[in-house]
Amino acid sequence: MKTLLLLASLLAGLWINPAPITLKANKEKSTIGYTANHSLHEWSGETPSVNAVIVLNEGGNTIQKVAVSANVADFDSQNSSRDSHALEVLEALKYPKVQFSSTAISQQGESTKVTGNLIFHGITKTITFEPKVEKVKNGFVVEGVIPVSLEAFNVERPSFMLIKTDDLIQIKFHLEFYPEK
Amino acid sequence: MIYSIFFALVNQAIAQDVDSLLLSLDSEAEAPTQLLPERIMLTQRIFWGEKGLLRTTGIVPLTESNRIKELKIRRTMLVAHQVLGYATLAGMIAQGVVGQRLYSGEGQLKGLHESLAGAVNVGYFTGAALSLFSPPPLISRQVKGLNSIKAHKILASVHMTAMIATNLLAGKAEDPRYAKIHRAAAFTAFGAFAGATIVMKF
Repeated sequence: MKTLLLLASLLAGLWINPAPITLKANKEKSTIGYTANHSLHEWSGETPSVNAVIVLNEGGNTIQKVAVSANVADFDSQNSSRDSHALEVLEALKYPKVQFSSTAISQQGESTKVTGNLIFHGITKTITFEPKVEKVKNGFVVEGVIPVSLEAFNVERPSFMLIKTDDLIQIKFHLEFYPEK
Repeated sequence: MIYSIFFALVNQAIAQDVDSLLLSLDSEAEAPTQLLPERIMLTQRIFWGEKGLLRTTGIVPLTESNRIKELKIRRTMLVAHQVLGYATLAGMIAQGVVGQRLYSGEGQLKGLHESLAGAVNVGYFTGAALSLFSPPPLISRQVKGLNSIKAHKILASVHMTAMIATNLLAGKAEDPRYAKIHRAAAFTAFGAFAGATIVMKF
């Protein structure tokens, strides 16, 4: 009987748990970009169209979960030919999105460590990175850089003048989360 | 047993949370990538456009799987365009040396000049066709200001015009008046072609 009561109270506890606080990224203030390198020069691209959401703890002080999604076709490097070439190697028709969802977030003092799954070119890999998290008046500002190996995600490195681009690209993000008005 | 049920429930809740977070984002995502860009070069539109010859005849219907194959063909054509471009540039440099000596009176080089002209023309027009008739890209954005690809296209229209002029004037180059214009057109073609090669960057 005691066992049943305990189980019932556990289930009730889960059921009546208050809805988590979720904040969505403000699209006008958030960007995700990349920097890549070829022997001839370095370039970068950016997307202003970022879909991201964070889940906060009950007190709204710390981030518990994060999910980010962006269309690869939205990354603009101010060179249509180069962007089009990038979409070819990324097989954008088959794999139109780059996504990330956290599996663990730990905070120690000022530093935050995020572990999660990065889905890129149809391949899921676990990554860990340390973003800068700033709590502002109404929300959070999260920014950082994630180095990504193209070959680790089976992306054929684009080449120009028969020379391939570097394997490592830097994914840079600046995300601002506020309550929706 | 109670603990296992509890942990199973918590784990399931977390997994659902992460999945539902991504799903909630996907539901807001913009429209999927279009199969064809809004702006397509005329030479490409004739064959590969929505109402292009290859579509209307049913040879290559406009489908996602076909576009994936087309983009691979496009890349092969553009790599061949690059390789032929470098070979043609080398041929043009050799032709410049031979042509200059011929112009200075070394008449015995006429045969070599004509052979080189044939090779350069084959390389040049094959390279141009590979770019002009390749399947269109996935996107074609209009970018403000001058960039490498815009400069490449502007210079391409200059060297294409100059190449045609060089060929038209070649038949009359025996006449010294036309020889000068033929040489000027050839140097314009070479200059614009070299410029178009240099400005291109990934």
